[in-house]
Amino acid sequence: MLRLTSIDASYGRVQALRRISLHVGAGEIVSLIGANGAGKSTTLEVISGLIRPDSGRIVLGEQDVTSWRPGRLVRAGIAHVPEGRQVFGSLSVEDNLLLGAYSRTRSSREEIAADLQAQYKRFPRLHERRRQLAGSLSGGEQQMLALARGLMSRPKLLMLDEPSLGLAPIIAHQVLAEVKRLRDEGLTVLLVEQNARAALRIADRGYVVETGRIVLEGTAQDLLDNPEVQRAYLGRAYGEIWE
Amino acid sequence: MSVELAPQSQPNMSDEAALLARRRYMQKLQILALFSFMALLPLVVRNTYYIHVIIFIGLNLILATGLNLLMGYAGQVSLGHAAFFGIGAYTSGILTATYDWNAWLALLAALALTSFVAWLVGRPTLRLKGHHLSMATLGVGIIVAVVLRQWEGMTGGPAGMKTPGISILGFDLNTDLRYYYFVWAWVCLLTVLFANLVESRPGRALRALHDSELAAQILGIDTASFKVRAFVISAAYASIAGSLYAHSSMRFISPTPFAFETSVALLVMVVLGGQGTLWGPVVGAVSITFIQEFLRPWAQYDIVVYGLILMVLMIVMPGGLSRALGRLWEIVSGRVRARRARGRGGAER
Repeated sequence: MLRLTSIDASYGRVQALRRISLHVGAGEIVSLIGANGAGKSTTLEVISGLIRPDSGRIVLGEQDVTSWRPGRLVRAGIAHVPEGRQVFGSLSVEDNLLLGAYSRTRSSREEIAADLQAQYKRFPRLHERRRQLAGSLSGGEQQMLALARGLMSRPKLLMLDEPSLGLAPIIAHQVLAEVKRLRDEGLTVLLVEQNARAALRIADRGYVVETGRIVLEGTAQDLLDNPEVQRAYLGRAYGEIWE
Repeated sequence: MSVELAPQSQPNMSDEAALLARRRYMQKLQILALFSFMALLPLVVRNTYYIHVIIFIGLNLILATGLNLLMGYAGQVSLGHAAFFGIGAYTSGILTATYDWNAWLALLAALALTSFVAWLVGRPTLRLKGHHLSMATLGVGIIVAVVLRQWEGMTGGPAGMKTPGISILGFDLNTDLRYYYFVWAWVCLLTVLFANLVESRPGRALRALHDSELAAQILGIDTASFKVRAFVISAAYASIAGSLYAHSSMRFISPTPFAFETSVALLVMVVLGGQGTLWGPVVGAVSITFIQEFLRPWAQYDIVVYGLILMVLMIVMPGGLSRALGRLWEIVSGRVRARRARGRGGAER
């Protein structure tokens, strides 16, 4: 579904990504794990068109989408739920969701209204709070909102950047369970997480990113069993606490 | 009734739409109330001086509404808005006085020129992150002030220039009262336009990018182009205010009102009233115009007063006066409602 071929990208003079190659198959959850500043978020930003790669190719389905603008990529089926949720705090929950459909210029009002109801059905909490300002929601509710806003664009590929960041473990579990449910409904997911254990639990495959390079890839189970990954990212000794 | 027959899981759409329609209706009603009040005001206020002051409130309101679009919705600051006011006034003045243009044509020409200048300034600076627009507009403000003063052959320099009046289909707007109605008709038109704009899809996009530019971009909103458009519209509002100023019953323009002090005063109006609200500019324009009039004998100190107002506001009520009043109203009406609920013997929470 999505294939990146040796992508280089940089912020000004600082090179952030070096020859990143990865692919995401239809119906998979693929997880990018790695430390802070390794280049995971940058990878997502390149895919969603926020940053232009210096070289390399991005192919979505059959199309070369390298250097497309964000709006066009949204229409092509890519939704990006950014790190830190980034809900529109001074707008109502409902306005946030409607903005999720901003790029759907070809959909009728009725279609969008129906999708809005579908999201309310999925997240009843958002329906309860639809008139409230998004800024007044709790962290977990904001993450739900960010997720639902992303889904309002009717994506084929959903990219999530640190969805469990700053959430209580129980809430983080709920969010990741929802991600899994979305995959079961047919969505393809590219998941960036610092919480590597939680991410690999629901993922099919994973990539380990270090200083802008992919250093390891494999099925989620292989990565969970890999002693290097265990030492560096899973904090084996703390594993039991998370159980 | 169909409302009760709707299944629980499907929130009723007609209900939602009705609420939204009601909110818009209330807003229209408030605007209508304000302008009916302004239309009847001259029946009570006969004093020419006060009529003059209220005309100025109208002009300031147009300026502040435009700036509010930029600051409260696009999240950008213009430190040289008086320059666009000045370009509008002088383009209208010069074209009508020196080149005998029709005043309405001159107004349109001024509008086009001001918008073009704003676009030239905004396009490169708003593509960058951060507050480069403030610096650029500060520069524009200084350049325009210098040009108005120094280009004596065209602008009459510091001594100013005489300007002709304006008429509608042969009806001369040559008295203060007529001009009062003319200016406030414009205020009404531009306020309704503004209210519709911010409630529309582009308006929602503007507010979104104010909250999170990153998320707005990700959703496919072309944030740079929205910011440029908001800036051009805010400059266009200033240009109209300028043209109206040029043809006012004073029949005279000079560089003084278009200097840096006015830019600061406009900024204070928007912040004082409350950025990003419909009523903020009204509250701001009324209070600052009165403060300006009150301080007239000590005019050189008014910038000190603006500074003080800004400082106190940032500390005490960063949301501005109109939001603070709104919250006060909610508290008061909330108490009344709570008391009534208790009176019926049904505590709600």
